[in-house]
Amino acid sequence: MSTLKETLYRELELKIATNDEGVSFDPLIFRDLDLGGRYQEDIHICFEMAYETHVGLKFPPFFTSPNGLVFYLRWDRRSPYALIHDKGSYYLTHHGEVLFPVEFPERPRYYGLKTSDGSPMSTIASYAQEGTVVVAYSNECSLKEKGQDCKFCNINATKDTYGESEGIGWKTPKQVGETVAAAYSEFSEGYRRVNLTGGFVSERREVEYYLDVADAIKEQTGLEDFNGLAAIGAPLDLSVIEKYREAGYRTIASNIEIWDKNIFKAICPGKEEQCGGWDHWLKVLDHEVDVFGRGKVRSNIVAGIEPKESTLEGIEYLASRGVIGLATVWNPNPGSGLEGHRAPEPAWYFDLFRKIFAIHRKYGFTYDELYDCSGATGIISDLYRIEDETLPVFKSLVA
Amino acid sequence: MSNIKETLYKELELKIITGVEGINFDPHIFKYLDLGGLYQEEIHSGFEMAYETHVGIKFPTGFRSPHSLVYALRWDRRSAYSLINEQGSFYLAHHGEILYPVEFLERPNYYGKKTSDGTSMSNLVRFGQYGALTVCYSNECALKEKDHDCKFCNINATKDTYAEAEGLGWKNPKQVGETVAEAYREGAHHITITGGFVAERREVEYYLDVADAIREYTGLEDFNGTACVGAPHDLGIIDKYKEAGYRTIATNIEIWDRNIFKAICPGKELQCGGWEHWVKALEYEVEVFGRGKVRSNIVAGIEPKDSTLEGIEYLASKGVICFASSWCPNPGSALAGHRSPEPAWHIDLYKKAVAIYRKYGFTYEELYDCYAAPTSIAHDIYRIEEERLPVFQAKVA
Repeated sequence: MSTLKETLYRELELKIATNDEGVSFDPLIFRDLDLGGRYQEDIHICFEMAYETHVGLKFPPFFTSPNGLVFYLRWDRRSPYALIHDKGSYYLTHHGEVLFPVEFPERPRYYGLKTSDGSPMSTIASYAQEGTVVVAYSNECSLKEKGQDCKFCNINATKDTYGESEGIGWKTPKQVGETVAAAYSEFSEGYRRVNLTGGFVSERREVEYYLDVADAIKEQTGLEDFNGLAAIGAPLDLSVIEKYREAGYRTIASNIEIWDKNIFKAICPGKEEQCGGWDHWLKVLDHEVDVFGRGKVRSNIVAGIEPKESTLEGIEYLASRGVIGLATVWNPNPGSGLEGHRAPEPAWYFDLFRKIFAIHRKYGFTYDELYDCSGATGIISDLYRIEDETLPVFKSLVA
Repeated sequence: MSNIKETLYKELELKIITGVEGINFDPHIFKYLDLGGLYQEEIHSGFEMAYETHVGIKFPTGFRSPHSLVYALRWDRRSAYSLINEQGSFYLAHHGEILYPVEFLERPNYYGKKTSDGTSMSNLVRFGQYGALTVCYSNECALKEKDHDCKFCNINATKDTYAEAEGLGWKNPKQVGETVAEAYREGAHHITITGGFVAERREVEYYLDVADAIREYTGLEDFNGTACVGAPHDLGIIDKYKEAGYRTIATNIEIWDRNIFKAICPGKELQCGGWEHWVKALEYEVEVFGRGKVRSNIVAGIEPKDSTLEGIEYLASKGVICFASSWCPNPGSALAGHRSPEPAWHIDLYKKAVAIYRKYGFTYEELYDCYAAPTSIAHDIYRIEEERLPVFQAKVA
């Protein structure tokens, strides 16, 4: 293995470890960082992923390692990893030992713009790096009405904590269309995508909204294919899926969250009882592949709640059906039903991600398919770009 | 609250925390400790609870805090808590700061004796403090044959790692009877018979033979025994345990949420009639043994806390004392690499569990008679609240 790859794998291990353990820092270290000006600030459009809430304190959402991996900045004051500020530079440390200097991502220009109705675009669509724009049309989930929220999810608690203070609410299709158009004007063609997601809407009325948003994006961007992903709950009526395709979404996602069907029932009671259950969820994913095509459908598992072998069985099964199954590090976060639990050790995740990557390779999924379905900052995306030597750092070496 | 109680609750919190986070130490610190002589050594008769295995390196089984709470010693080199040895004394420390001195548990005399067939009694019956003994008759579990082990359990891995090195194996009834009699002569007064599942569920004959042997060697009709069994398909078998002389019975449901139970305990689901049957067995056990004479246990931290508490409350309402024990994802289990919830999560759970026991009127004696480890957090809370610890008497004196 080349030295650069070895270095990148070390950085990747740290990315997983800091995502799992969080990063400790004194919020005052960002006092002189031009957050909301030159640098991008974290906006709580859906979930608080930090260990503690921090209303009124702005943090950067990410930082980058020396070789260009994008790390999530998840605040946890108990972590052995820390960010420190020394003479104008920032460093990642472990038990006080400096590991490397970090850079914070610059704020996209559209964050400083407003929609025609005067709403700040930063509250409409968050920027997830590398051309990915995320719209959480609704920052609440109607599953709470029957006490059926997913146990790992804190979308409703996050809305209660941050909705008012950060001015986050329902987004109209026009606001979304204008914001996506503004964002797309900053990014190069072929390297931009929009992820439309959000909590469940009462009576599952989200489909009309998704179609209206697609129309608005097409109108405002002038693009027929705007590289949109519709992240939806499994509809009871499978024919609804065709509508998303017809509306212009290139990809679709239905997150199964937990592969073990029994644990799914316990952890996702709303998805079990209001979406036809686990078996129906699989049927929907199969149908999505029929409609959108192989490699155009994504499903995610919140990894660490069920045994690893179960998650891997799910990823393999889904891959065999043409679905890109992904896993994310579980962060038992404030306000969720599993608050106070702890995710597995970083080594557990590193092994899991390596195995998922091998499955994706085995089934021939390409980086572009991964990008369209999930963006560019996930661990699996990193593995593709390290192994294929497509990260910018490899080009700079050649030059 | 009195100062002594406040101090004891602080020590209890540390006991919960070190139970969950483990304790770091250099094994060399025990070089001059008379382990296997004056002090009781750990013997892996059932499970390895340390984060790492340590074949050939003996550790003490536990220690006492200054106010006499008994801590289990769970080795984890990553822990912020540590044991240190300074000039011949041992201390519990946190991030290197000494919290208090500790005393290791004394070895019972019978650990140094042998049965009539020459087997070391220490390998047959484990001493669990406060006069309680445990026999793990079989240190393996037949559920593995169909890959149905409980996902949190490492009994089979522990056997593979330690059985040969520590000379552990199947215990015959005569060995158990002789050892229990010897321990009872030294003051022990409770015995739990437990172990992994036996192929074709043949354990019932064994339990009955063991009861006969204990009665024969101790001369006691009521030897205060707990039969810890898997739910039998034929509930009529439960009557046999009662007839054999067991005072109490235990059937550990492990997980209250019936769906998570299916996933985490596939053998108990598929080979023991499933969760509903397990609950039915517990309810029948209360009919046979009586209220407060039946125990169950939940491995706490795998399912949401609400679910565990719902289970404890439901079972209490039926007369079953359901304990919760902090999940320690241990080496060789399918969940190795997972992590137990934070200590604060467990502290809150224990307080709520004990509040439920008290609400349903379970007494300390009932708790003592039905659980293998009278050093549990629930026992400690009872001892603190009812001022049963020696430290309260010392104050009066």
